[in-house]
Parts: sequence; structure tokens; C-alpha cells
Amino acid sequence: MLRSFSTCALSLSFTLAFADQPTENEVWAVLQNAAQAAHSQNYQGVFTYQSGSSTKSVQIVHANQPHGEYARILVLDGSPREILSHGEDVIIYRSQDEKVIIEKRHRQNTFPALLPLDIDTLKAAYKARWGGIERIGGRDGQIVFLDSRDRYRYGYKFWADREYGLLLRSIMLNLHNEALEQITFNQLTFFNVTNMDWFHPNISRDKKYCMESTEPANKLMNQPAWTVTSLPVGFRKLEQSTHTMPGKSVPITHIIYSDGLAAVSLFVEPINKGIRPKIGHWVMGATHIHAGVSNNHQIMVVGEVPEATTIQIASAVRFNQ
Amino acid sequence: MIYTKNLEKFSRLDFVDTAMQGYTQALQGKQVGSSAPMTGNREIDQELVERAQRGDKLAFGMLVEKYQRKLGRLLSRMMRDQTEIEDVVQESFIKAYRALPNFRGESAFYTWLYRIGINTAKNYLVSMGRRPKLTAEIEVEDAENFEDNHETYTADTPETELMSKQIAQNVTDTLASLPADLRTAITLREIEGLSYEEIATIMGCPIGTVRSRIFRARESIAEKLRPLLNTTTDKRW
Amino acid sequence: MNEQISALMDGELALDAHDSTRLDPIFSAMKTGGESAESWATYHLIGDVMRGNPMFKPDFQQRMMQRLEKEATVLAPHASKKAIHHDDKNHKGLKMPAKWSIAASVAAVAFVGWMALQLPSQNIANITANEIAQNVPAEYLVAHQASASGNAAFYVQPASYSESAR
Repeated sequence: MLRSFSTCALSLSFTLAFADQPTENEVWAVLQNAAQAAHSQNYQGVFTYQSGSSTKSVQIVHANQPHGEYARILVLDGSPREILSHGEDVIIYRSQDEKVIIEKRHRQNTFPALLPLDIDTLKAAYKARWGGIERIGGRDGQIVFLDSRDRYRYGYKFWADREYGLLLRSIMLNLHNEALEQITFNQLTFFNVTNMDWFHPNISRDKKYCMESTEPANKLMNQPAWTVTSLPVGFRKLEQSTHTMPGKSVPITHIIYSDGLAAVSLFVEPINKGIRPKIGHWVMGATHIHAGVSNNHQIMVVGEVPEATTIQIASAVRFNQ
Repeated sequence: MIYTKNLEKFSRLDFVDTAMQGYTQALQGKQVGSSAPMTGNREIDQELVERAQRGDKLAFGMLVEKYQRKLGRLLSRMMRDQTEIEDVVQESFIKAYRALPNFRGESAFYTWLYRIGINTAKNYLVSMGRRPKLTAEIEVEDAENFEDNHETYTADTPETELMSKQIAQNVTDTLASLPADLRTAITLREIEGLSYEEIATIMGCPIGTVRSRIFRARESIAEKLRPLLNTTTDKRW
Repeated sequence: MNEQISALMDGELALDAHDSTRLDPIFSAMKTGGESAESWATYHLIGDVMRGNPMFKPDFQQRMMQRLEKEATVLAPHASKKAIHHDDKNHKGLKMPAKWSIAASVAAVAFVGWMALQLPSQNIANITANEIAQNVPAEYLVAHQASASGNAAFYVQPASYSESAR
């Protein structure tokens, strides 16, 4: 594995040291650089993911090749999982039950590629704040805080590699500044791609396959009898799809909102006679789930956001009548 | 359920090694089992399992028809709420279905299913913060003999209870109205679990007659149940 | 046919022990739904009622089949071998075309994001707050994670995955 400075001109340009406290724009530029580095650099390493009592060591190899980005992610703790991706195509191997899941990820914001490539999309909802330099695993990390401008999303603390830009560590913080999720590289090497031997997906007929349906979401649905009126600042609709479940006449509308970092799903479905709707609130790590009923519809909001956000989005659904 | 669209998707995943081996492995020499001329209970289950393992979901559905209430009764020893039992039974069947490739027929299907059912119920109770009751007593060995327990079970939820009562009443009434030889034949089969041969010996008639009597008994009762069942479900499959 | 079904469920249908293809007509009759399938269901119900086993809601089987439909079809390798075994007997020397093996693998297809999506169909009037709070709506969580995945979904196994791990 050779070290190389040549892979990305952008990262080179950013080995500048801030003489004084950097301006907010310079801080944003650190994040912009980190977002790009995750996609454009070739690197391999092991990082630890921690959330609540859950800890996973994950090995990652990422290569930016002329034919696109390739990555191999191996979960080292617990039941082994191997994830191979090429662009948006993702294959997940689960050894526990010999299952292979093939799917398309429209939105991939997993460490170290957490940040959106267009960093400006974050500016409405977050403030960037310089935090100094700290060494992480022998490398200099530039600390940037992303503080929420309101109470509708979590905050972040990032350590971006001073030389290559890549995120070395990321912490998601709740409204009380407590860590919800922490991811840290324990080991990281940048390399020049010489071969792709490590990228070896193999499909065997002894395994079970689950493949994402290629059928387009049902577009023939009537215009829903509801609209979403006011979202928390910064949240934009990324996708909307309507699923009709087999054997059921009830269509479910699924809308994904994101503020660039946090994603929220809104599910709306008419309640059929004899179906018991769900009402309540659940928390699982950073994920909040809010279930409510409005105008004989089940409203379900799921997202890595504070409770207030799920409630706000649920109550933003307004029925036309 | 083959979506040819997905084949294209495979080719789209150009990095996937599509050089897969065919199924044409060396075919095993024909293995003739022991000389069991009849498909016993275990054989029919095994046949259904194998069909399900070859992708036939309806074959699994037939096993569900057969075992749902037996499993329900077993689990009613661990939990009281009818709705919960129903959920756990559904969950158990789904788990069994997912684990089906691992079922090699070393034990009887129902033994395997009941074990999954008991574990599912235990996990459910633990997740609800309740201590699984009677865990020491309810084990699979016990499960295999659980039908010896003749305590009558009553459903908890009103709508199910009403429905169950109607069905039970209907079955009892029709059974009572049947000619004695039909009633005896089906009772010896369903309650005593005797084979056709044993029933033939007891009733002093040929096996073919036993087979016909049991069928006629079932058909007479089913006839009376159909209006009741059809009003609630348009389609059972 | 119904008398055969009745004998079949009692394990009393005379069969060639190593040739289960004789069951095929019965199974195909049941598969088409209608009377045969209904008889299998009703005859088993009768036996259970006689033994005092609890009955479920009338739509139990229907809901069960809907859930099964959403499951990835299982294909056990050893069962497939047997299928070929039969084929081989019936069509001597028939070789599986290469495409067939791919199709067989692909046959086990599920819509990942929505595979666990179902709701208990119960009477609205029956809700108690306690009941509701206990059921984390995992199916929505899975759908969310599948399409809007963050780190949690990627590295920690999503709800349905760890569930099925058992």
C-alpha cells in the first residue's frame, strides 16, 4: 500500500494551517473538503462505531476508480456482515442466515462519507464552529462543530484529517451535548490503487437472495388527500413513493426528508376498517418513532432526529377536507 | 415468482460474478427408504416441508392450517392474552419459514416448529418485561405430548370468542346428530389418535370403510361449518 | 378428491414411499384454491375443535399467507436436488440450461425495504394504551433504514435483520 499525495488535488490545496481563528467560511470549507475526500480518496482502515451499548468494529476499503467508486465494508464484531458497493449498487452478505441482499442506495451517508457533497445545503440549519486541532490515531484532526440553529436536529463534532481532508472521527450530539453516536478511525491508510483483488463479490446459489424490487413505485395513485404544510427549517423532500402492499388495498405513501445530515421518513396510510392503528412514541438510540392518527389515517414518522421533529412533521400533515 | 426484470438488474451489477454453477451436481443414487407403505403424519409433513423448500409457499400454508391451533394451545400455557398468542404464532411460522432451508427432517416438523414457537414466546415475554412463566415445564418433550392435556380452552377476545363458540357449538351439534358409526370413527381418529387399522379392528369393519366413514363425518360437519366460515372470510387462501 | 384429502391428513393415503409425485394431483387441486384447499383447512379445524384447541380470528390464515407472500421465497439446496431428481427420472438426460440456475437464485426475491411491512388487523375498538406502546413499529423502522440509511442501519443490523437472525 503506497501512500500518495497525487490522488486528489483538492486535499493538497487544503493542507493550509490557519494562522488565526479561521473564518466561518474557512470552517465550512474544511467540511466541504471532508465530504469530497470520502468519495475521491483511496483509503482503507478500521473504525469503531458506538451507539448506546452497541459497539462495532468495521473495516473499510474505498477506491475511486475510473468506473466509479468501489467500497468493501466488513463488520468485524458480532455476526459478520460484508457490504460491497459500486456506485449506488450495494450488496450485503449476511453470514448469519446466508442471505444476500442486493439493493440500490439512493442516499448513502455512512461514515466517513457522512457529509453532503453540496455543503451549502447544511447552512440553513447548522452553524459551523472551529474547534482546534487534535491528534487522532497519529494524524492531525481539524475539529469542526456543527451546531443546530434550532432544536429540531442533533449537533455534530467532526475531526477532519489535516492532510487528506477525510473525517477521522464523528460524534453526534443530542440537545444536551451528550454523544448519541461516535465513529472513530482506529487505523487508516491512504493508498494508490494498484489492483482490485480485494473487491470480490461472489454470488452463490446456496444463499438466499433478497433483491430490491426494480418495479417503479405506483404512480397511478390519486393525488393524496393531504399535504405537508410546514417542515422544520432545512428539511427538504428527497423522495416520495407510494407502495401498495400485496393483498391490501391500502396504499402507503412514504416521503423522505433530509436536512443534509439527518433523514426523516414520513409514512401516511388510510386506516382500513378492522385495522388497529398505532399510537405512541419510541426511541431507539438516536432514532425516534412517532405514531399518530389523523383524519382516519395512520401517520408514522421515523428519523434520527429529536422527538420534537417527529412530532412537528407528523402534525404538518394536513388533510384537504 | 421469478421477476425477469431482476435478471437485468443482475447484469447491471457488472461486478457480480455471474459465473454461477448450475444445479447439475452429481445426482445422488436413488435412496429408497425403509418399507413404509403409508404416509404417516410425519411423512405428509415432510412432503409439505420439501415442497415448501422448493419454493412452494402454499405447501407451507397447509402446514400453517394444520398446526396453527395446536401451536396456539401449546403457547396458551405460557401466555394468556389471545391476541398475543396469535401474534406469537404468526411470528413463529414466519421464523420457521425463514429457517426452513435449515430443516433437514432429523426431527419431526412439529417438534421443530414447537421449539421455534416456545422460543419466540419466551423472547416475546422477555421483551415485554415479563418473566416467561413455566419455562421449565414447557419444553419440547412436553410439547410433543401436550395434547394429553384436555383442559378446555376459551378464547379471550370477544369477537373471536363469539366466533369460536359458534363454530364449537356447530361442530358439537353436528357430531351429535351423526349416525353412530360415523361419530365413533371420527372420534377414535381425532380424539384417540388411532390409525385406520386400529379403528377397523375396534369397529369390526374393513379399513376402506373406516376411511369412508371418517371422510363422511368430516364432510357432514364441514358442510354445516361452511356458511359460518364463508361469512367471515371470502377466501381462505 | 376430498376423501383423498381426508385420508392424506390422517397419514393413511397409500403411497409409493419413494414416489411422492402421486401426491401431485392432490397438491395441484389444493393450490388452485377452491374446494380442496378449503377442505384441508376445514377438516383440520374440525379436529382441533374436537380436541378443544383454541381458534384464532377468522382471517388468521389470510394474514399469514399475506405475510408469507412478502417473505423471500426459500430455496433449500437439498430440496432442489430432489426436484431435479424427479426431473431426471421423467426426462432422461435433461440438462439444466445455464440460465435456469440464475433464475432459480433470483426467484428468491423480496422487496427489501418493505418486506416486513404489515399491520395487525384488529378491531379499532379494542385498543388499550398499554397494548399500543408495547409494539415498536419495526416495519416502518426497516423501511426508513432501507431508504434513508444512516450509520445505524449500516453497521448495526436493522430491526428486521437482527430479528430474523434468531
